[in-house]
Amino acid sequence: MSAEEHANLLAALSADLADAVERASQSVVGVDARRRVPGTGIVWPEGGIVVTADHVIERHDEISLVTSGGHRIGATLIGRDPGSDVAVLRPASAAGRPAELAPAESARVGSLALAIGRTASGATSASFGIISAVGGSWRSMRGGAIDSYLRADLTLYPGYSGGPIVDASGRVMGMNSSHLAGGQSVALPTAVVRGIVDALVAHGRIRRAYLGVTSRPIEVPDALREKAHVDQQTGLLLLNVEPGSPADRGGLFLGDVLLAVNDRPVTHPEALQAALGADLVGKHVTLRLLRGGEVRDLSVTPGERE
Amino acid sequence: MTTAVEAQSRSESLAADLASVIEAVQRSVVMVRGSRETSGSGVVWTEAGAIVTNYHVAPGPFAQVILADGSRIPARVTRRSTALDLALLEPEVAVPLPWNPAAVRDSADLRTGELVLAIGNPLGERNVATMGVVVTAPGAENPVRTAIVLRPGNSGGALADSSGRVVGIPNVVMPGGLALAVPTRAVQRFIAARHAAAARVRVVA
Repeated sequence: MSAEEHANLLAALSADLADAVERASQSVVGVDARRRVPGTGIVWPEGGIVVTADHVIERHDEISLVTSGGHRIGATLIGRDPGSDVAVLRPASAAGRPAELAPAESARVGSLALAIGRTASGATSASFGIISAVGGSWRSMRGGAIDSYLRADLTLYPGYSGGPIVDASGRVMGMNSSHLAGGQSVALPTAVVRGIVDALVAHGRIRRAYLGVTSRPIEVPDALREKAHVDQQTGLLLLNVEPGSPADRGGLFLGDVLLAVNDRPVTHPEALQAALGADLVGKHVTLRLLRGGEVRDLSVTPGERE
Repeated sequence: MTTAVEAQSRSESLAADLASVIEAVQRSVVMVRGSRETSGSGVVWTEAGAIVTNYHVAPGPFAQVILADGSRIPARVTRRSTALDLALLEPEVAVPLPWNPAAVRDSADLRTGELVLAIGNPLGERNVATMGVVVTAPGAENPVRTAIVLRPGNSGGALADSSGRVVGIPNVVMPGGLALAVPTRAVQRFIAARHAAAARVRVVA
């Protein structure tokens, strides 16, 4: 039997993958907004916008997009969130076919995946692998609180950031970023991207609450934990309280040990950031802290992080 | 909804397809040892047993072709192109050997995202297969860019499509997981030029 007669499924899979790339590539643009190799963007299903990675946008003016047809069109920046590495652009004219999104949570460990990019010359480029992890909420290396992420064993070539990771049918499962996890291939699932994009379109940025403190974790001694009826092993020693900040106005001092925000324990600085969601801006928040060996509750009104 | 049994039998036949395609390509891939202690792979290209490899695998006038059973056959390098990184070997054998010329496909037809298989002898290990995809379709002029694991010794071997047809000769590994192959479009031109040159020689004689 010849290889060709036998290889029905393999050849069919190969053709399917090439089809998936071709289909998805119509919604993929090059994003030329930095001096190095351009990034990639996704023509979003709604709103006539292009979604890309924040870190590929290094200038605000003269942003141009390269379409799947090789045309160059101008674009303006609508909003960006460095914490989650998402930026939204408004193209001067239609940038391509709106992307088709994969059903929510259809990406499973072992699912076939393709990452798609657009080279500086406008050619479509792709790499292939499997979804190797579907993770829960985490704090990115750029400080954003992210509900979930996808990790794949495929190669993200230079310029792939901001482009889609698609399934074997060419439907978008997420947006690739090489910056969120220190150079490793990570993708934000489309459901996560959608939430960020909607906020960026509405406000131009992601609102985050702000106290104005610098802290580091510190062990709460056993004796003190017993005395103060505290369960947690660590709290946050305040190393700095910015003058005039919400923390300052609320009466926090250098040396206070922060234990909880609205009864939510904060055992490390990331937990504090995660606790300071946009919903707390301008609201009374109860901070529990250790001061002079005593537990105290203070009411503070967080501002909004600029 | 796919049942587990259906899914299993489908992935099993996919795996079987993969194995038989690799086997078919392996029959056309040989190990090549150059005269300057270089080593790599080669692809049997013609019925007569002419072997295509990279110039950097066989840079001298002679090379050895090592068959699956370990037997070594001397070969002459009858044509080379440093620009294309290609060399053509003609084994010097009295008895005909059971050569299996590779099925060849025009690389200009390759599509981005297609599956490709690399088969060669990396680090002296025989008939090693790896799988990847075409990163950028080469068109008529460019090298085949692939996302595939290649190691020293894959050079000169086969880059084949999902039906076992050779589409390129892997020759360069770039940093960052990108591998390049000389497209078959260029290999065919290289071979055709050789025949043209040979024909001219005969006319003069």
